[in-house]
Amino acid sequence: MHFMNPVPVMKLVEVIRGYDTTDAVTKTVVDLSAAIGKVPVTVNDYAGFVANRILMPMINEAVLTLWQGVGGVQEIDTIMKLGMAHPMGPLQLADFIGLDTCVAILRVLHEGLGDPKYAPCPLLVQMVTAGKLGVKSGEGFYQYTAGSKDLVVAAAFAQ
Amino acid sequence: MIDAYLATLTIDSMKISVIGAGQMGNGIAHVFAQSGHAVTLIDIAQASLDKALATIGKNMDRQVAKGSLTEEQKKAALASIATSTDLAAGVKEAELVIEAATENIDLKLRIFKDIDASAPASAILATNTSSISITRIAAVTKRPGR
Repeated sequence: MHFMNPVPVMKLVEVIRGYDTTDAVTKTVVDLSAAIGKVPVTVNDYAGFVANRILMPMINEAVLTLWQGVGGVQEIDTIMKLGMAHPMGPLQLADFIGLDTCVAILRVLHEGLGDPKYAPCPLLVQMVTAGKLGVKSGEGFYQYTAGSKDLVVAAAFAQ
Repeated sequence: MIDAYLATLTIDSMKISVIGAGQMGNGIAHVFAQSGHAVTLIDIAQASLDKALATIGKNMDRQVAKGSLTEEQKKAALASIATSTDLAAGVKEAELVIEAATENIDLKLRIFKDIDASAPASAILATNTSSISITRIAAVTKRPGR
């Protein structure tokens, strides 16, 4: 039962059927998820399932794009927000999820699916090593100040 | 497949144990309690449990202010959340256990072995992992089907 953060707000429950999960168990979990007002979607069990299998490579590509100097933090996030109608840019979303969590999930994809395309971008790994974990540590691609909701690009990426 | 036990469950009021009182754990406890389920929130640290209950209360206050929850519903929901720092005791009557601990495979495998040993054989075990293999976690239990 993969809930999304923040749980009370997000409608989706990604229901993952393991190799041995019985149909009756899956049905109970689906019914229960619907009964608590969520929208369950059932998928099979391969690394990252569907949500993170698709989201994490996008975030990783955004970090690679930044790392290679194709665009700055603001440019990348603005393009994805306004161009693709995403409520948050991928770098801001990565900060929100936690950069350490992003690296951990990418490693699971890399190991579980065996494709080098899932390897976490060295910049992302470097930031985690330096303790820049995003919102929870106060700095990631953006700088977070208690009490302020302004989106300020972190000094390391300021242009 | 027919599962006689599951057919007896009332999905409107189940006994649900949530393991881990972090951001995801408190959110999961919140939505189940709000929907009339009896929730036991389990964490190794009492301080995390206290903090989680305070967070759930605050988030419900916000719903009350918005009009999506009444004060009575909030009180009833909060009253239906018990807490425990003892995993074995916290899952022993559970119909569904949802693990929401840190995303660490070794930790999760250890927790699932413990849950499997203490939860009723009929209980469904679930994890809120965002990417770790369900099949791998199920394999350390004696009930991979559920």
